[in-house]
Amino acid sequence: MIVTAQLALGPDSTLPAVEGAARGLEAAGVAAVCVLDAADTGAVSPFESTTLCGRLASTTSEIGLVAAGSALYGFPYHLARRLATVDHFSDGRSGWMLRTGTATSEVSAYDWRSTLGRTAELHRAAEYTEIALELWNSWEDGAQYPDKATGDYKDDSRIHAIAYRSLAFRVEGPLDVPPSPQRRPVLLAEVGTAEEAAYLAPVVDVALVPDAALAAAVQEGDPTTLVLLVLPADTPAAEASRRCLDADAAGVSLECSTDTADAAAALAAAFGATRGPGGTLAAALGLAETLTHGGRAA
Amino acid sequence: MTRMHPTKHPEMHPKMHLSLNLTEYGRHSGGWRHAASDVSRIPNLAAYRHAVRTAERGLFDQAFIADTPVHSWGRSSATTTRIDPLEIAAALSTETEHIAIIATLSTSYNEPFDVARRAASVDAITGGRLGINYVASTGDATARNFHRARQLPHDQRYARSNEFIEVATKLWANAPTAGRSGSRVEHHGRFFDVDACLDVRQPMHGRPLIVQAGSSAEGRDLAARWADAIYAGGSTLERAQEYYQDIKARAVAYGRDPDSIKVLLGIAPFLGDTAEEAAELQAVLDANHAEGADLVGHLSGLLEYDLRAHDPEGPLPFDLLPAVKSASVSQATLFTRMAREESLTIAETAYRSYVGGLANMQFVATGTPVHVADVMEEWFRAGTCDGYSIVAPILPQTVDAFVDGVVPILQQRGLFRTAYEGSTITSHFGLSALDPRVPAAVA
Repeated sequence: MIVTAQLALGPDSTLPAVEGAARGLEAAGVAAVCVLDAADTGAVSPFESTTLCGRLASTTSEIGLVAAGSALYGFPYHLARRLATVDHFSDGRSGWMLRTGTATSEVSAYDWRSTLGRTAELHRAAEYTEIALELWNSWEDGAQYPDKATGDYKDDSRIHAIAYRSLAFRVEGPLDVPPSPQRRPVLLAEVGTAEEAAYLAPVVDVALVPDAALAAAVQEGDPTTLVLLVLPADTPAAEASRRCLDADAAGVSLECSTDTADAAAALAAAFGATRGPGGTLAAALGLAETLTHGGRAA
Repeated sequence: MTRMHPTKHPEMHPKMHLSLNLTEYGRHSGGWRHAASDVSRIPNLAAYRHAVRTAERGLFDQAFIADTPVHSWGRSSATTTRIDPLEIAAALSTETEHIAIIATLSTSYNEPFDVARRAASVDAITGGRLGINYVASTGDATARNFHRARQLPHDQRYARSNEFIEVATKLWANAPTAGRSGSRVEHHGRFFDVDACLDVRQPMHGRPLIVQAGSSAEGRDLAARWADAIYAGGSTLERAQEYYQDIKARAVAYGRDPDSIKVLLGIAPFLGDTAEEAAELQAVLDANHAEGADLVGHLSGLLEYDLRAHDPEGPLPFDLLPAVKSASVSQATLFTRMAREESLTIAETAYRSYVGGLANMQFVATGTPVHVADVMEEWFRAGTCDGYSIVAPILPQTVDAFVDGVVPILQQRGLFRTAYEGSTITSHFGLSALDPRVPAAVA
């Protein structure tokens, strides 16, 4: 069974505590740890998710590192660059947990304001993700070839602008980061409503759902999307197993903090959690063969 | 490691501050083609790690990561792999304990709230060792990655920078700490409309270190207002002295202690065990880079004027050159002035503009460690700077040779620390605390 964890940062999250939690989950066979910061939890901590994953890339060696990042605010170009960097540094263990809603702290913090409701947010998130996917796909294989004899560091004829244009975005590209080991992070999102399932199932590789009904809705939206059931870390193993079967989920995503990461690791061990071989996050989740590049969204 | 007692009268015995320009192969565009350069992995995190560890072994104040968030078409500036600077800083935090890491961030294509939360996080990850080099980005190509058709005009770029730093600084000043919750910042300005409370804890020293570079009047003014350190260029001693005096005077005009802004002069040291070896290294790197390249085309781009119709062996058509619009004013001015003052031909100017990359913006010292130390001492004592930004032409060779060869000489001469005074950005600069730099009207 695939076991992932969501590590919610909080006031007591020190660097040693976070790294200890990540290594404990890694040792228990957990495929990925998703780092949630204040924009996800509302709890202030010293850290932000994408930068903490940059550090964890150096202090873990096997577990997938899923950074939570907004698919509404900021710039898709920066987001693509940051996660490509994490993917390079972690040897292909990166994931992106799409933040498709507006956190309390974000309401009037950015240039763009969410004023048109949930559907407009989901539409924007899908476009944002599409831009990132095109940027990660803007270098052909082999475009980076430093040839000391000729002086060619790269082959510009195999690197392409994306020239993305929509009402909300205009991004020329290409990305200025050479392709990373995984080419792109694995995309994950929480799905809490039927509308989210319909919008996000075709966009992401992995959907995190709270119950069987939404697991079914995701499967209906895109049968190739991996479904993980979200459970608290203190769920008894037998109950967790039964609920996972009921939802027909491929695995679970265990909610924990630095204080309860041990419990999540114990539950993962009870499940016999294993990572698929290959070293990348996509491989750990069994997605290495099916992960597509370029735009997924229609 | 034993710590030195703080100097009682630091003004009596000024010590140099040192920064390393951190890249994979060095800032010389020919560095990667050197036989010893390891290009098997791009980006090469191991190369960054080695360089920053060596700089810390050499007791450097800081390591600096440049950045321009746009793909660089063509061969001319192909050597620097671009990845996210805050991610590099976070990754390198495991390698070091003392040295500050300075990450470049564009004020043209970022949002203050996002920068404030990510930088606060990296500050915590590095144990309070983060600095930010704010840059007003140039070029329409960069603008097009961020929803704009073209860049802002020069004056607006700096107006935006100023407001950007102001908003980020206010967000940090009002951020939550371990002991108190944060308060909202309401900012309704020309470029930013922010009403928010930072949701990441306040940086250890209240804010990250602020570093600037820039030689235009607006750039100098911005630095004098905000920066704790400035990366300066100066191709002659007199010009560097003028720059130094000007920055300090501008800081005083902002009500600041002139010593609270450190001027770090860029120097590109080509080091060798002998003068011949050093000259050979420079020649090899220059030739590596220029071979097969469109040199005059490159200079035409910098000057925004097509020089290809002119005789390459003749002088620049000074009277025909326009004021540059998109390109860097600093670079255009530098090469025009260089050509005029040294009576260079178009071909010679083009070669200079092409080889060496950023090394053109600094002064170059080529020779033995003793020679480089001599030059650094002379310029330091002549009042051109408070220290140096080592624009290493080739890594890891330059930092290895500098730390093993030049640092001990500077130490023997009493010009450089023999141990870290502490492991924070404030202790390196001899400060007890960072001025929060919150504008009085909005504090």
